[in-house]
Amino acid sequence: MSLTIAGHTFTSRLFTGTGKYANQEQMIASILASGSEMTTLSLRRMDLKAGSDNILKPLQKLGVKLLPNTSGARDAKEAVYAAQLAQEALDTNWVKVEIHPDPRYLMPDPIETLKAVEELVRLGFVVMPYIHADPVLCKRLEEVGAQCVMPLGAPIGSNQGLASKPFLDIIIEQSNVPVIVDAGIGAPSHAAAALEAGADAVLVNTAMAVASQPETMGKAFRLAVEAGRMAYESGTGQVQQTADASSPFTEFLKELL
Amino acid sequence: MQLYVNDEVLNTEHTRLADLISEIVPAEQRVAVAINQQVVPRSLWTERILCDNDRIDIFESIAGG
Repeated sequence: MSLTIAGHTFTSRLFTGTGKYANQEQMIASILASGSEMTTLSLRRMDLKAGSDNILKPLQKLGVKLLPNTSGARDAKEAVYAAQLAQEALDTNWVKVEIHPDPRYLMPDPIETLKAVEELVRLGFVVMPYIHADPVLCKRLEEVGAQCVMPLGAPIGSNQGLASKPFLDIIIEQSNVPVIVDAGIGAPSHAAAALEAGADAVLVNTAMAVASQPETMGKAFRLAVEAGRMAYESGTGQVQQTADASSPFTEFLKELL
Repeated sequence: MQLYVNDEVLNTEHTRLADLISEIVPAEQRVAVAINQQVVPRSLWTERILCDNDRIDIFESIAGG
């Protein structure tokens, strides 16, 4: 059941984010209930007057692996800079590369992402790129040393689910690195569907954070991801157009007539 | 000496980066520091000498997806 990325083994195939929670208590309770072993963080310039909400301490206490992202970066150069800052701030060489210059749809820039990944791999980072569900780009990222790919299901925070499903299927079939479906997952059933289809993991943030009961939703996602993976490992049946009786009732009816 | 810290003008007597950081960032807080857009690793804060008009950026972790 476990998943290994760059030598680090995860028991849970559910990765989470820390954004959008109403408060820190709900965030911690939700991540704990989800069983997630890695959660994302962002960086920003400190507001020296207002002080800080110190998000690190409770997360460190929880024992989850912290994955900084490069959110806010508009090109490869800014993403590399953000990764180097995050390495200092969080003592990790892992980074989720996110380069989305357009604030309306937050579509990841494939060209800048490829450049950033190439450079960050050269600098010794474990790079997890957030990208569109583009099978060609996934292979290119794999070639330059990305340790996994993180194609989107739908726009970030949109809760639309696996809108990119046909392309995710191609990516999963072709990939030699773990495929983590990131963005757009709005309900546990979406997460289960991704795992059933053979995705190695999912990353969920908004759907857990904005639920009216984030802790319970975290648990729902945990169960969905476990169920989806179990189904994948058990082998789901073929889809077909006609019926195929589960019970031999025809013989039974014949005897009655 | 005049510095820009997160775009705000700051006049200081400190000449070493480590002293400046310990004055303006709470001791328990983990931050990353860049001078003129070059990341300065924590291990070099003590020896790093500040220059007039240096642009210092201090970053912290926040919630994000």
